[in-house]
Amino acid sequence: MFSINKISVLLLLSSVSIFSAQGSTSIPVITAEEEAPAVVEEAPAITEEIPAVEENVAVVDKKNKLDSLEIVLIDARKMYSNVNSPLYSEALARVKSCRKVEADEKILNLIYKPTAKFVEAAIVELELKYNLELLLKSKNNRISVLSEIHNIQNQITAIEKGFSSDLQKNLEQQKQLTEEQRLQAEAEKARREQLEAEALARQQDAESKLRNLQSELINVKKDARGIILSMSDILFAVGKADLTSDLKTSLAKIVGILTVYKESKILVEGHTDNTGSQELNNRLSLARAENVMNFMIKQGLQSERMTSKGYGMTQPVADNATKEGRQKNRRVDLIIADK
Amino acid sequence: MQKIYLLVVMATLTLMMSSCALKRSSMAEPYLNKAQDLSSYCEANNITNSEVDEARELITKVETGLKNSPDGDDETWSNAELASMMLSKAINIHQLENAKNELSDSERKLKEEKATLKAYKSMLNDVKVSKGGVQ
Repeated sequence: MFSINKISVLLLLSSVSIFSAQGSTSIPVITAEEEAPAVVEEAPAITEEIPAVEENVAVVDKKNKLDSLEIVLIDARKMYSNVNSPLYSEALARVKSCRKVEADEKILNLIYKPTAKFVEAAIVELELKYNLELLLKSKNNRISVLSEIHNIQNQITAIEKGFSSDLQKNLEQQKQLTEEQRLQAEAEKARREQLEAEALARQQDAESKLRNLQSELINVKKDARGIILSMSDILFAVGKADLTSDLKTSLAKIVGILTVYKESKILVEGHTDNTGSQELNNRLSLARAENVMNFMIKQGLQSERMTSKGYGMTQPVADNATKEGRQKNRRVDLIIADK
Repeated sequence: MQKIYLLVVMATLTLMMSSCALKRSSMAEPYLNKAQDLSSYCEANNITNSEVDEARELITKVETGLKNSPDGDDETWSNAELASMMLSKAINIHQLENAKNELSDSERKLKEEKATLKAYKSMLNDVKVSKGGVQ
């Protein structure tokens, strides 16, 4: 039959076992679906401090090993104090149960090995949970860093996009400005061409009208300097610079034409034959030229368009040896040139 | 009087022992079932070591024991529990190793990502400066 001591031990073990069997956390519930590891590695040694479980050692040794098991278990709990292990409390309870029956060799032999295995499992669970906690922290840190990287990337993109947008806007403004300038230039060119065409038309009209002045007294010709109207000295009083009424009539017509043909400049040149002194001829030619110029200014031509010069006898157009030649040389020329 | 008392005590104890025996047999099966599930898991994931082998031997022993004695005995439920515990431990060791490897890999990546973050911070500063002195 059973001794009282044995019965009490069995009752105690039964109570612990009931707790183990009923408690869902006593042994980690591990299913292949949720915890199956991707890579299988060689199982590492948990800790060298865990005493080896030897069933056949003497009872005295088992008692000593129980001491070691308890110390290792408590040390592990301290080392991994920030994690919870359901197995820890149960393992500790089992060690204490072993101590209560350590006097009974048969009972001790029966429960020693499961208790030692329980302690080992509890330590492994503590270490596993500790490492899983570290892993979780590491992953959270990575999420934080990656999130910060993402934010910075967005900021950079936003800045570059804004910069690009500004550049694009500037380019568009520049393009628009260039287009406006191009249109303005085209308009200006067209206007200039139109003005030139109008000026050419006025010039051609003026030339045509000036040619119509061709007569015995006014000779009209065109050379590199422009249109030259040579007026005979018959239009002047002999030896004087005063304008006759015929000359005034002719000059008035010329002024009428040149008022419209405003792109021209008018140079009035006085010339004489070689009769008389050079000084006299110079003065006379200049006086006639100035009189013509002043008359034309009075008739409405802008003074800035006109200049006058007396050349005397220096630029004959015919032979001064003959009467006809000298008559041709006594003249006032109006040179009408483009500006 | 003492004999009667002793008889009563013995009868009570006998009843208690019977109850315990029934409980033990009913407790052996959940541990056996669990140990069998864990053994399958170890096999599926190629988790092998001497403890796993030993646990499988114990499972066989428990299965045989329950066939011979459906009510089981102390050794049967103790072996069932022990097998279950050894297999759980083997799986946890395996997971611990994986967790350590994953932690090491995660820490390495974290270090790289911190370097990347530093580079991006510098780049952001450069972009702000090139944009026109925006700080």
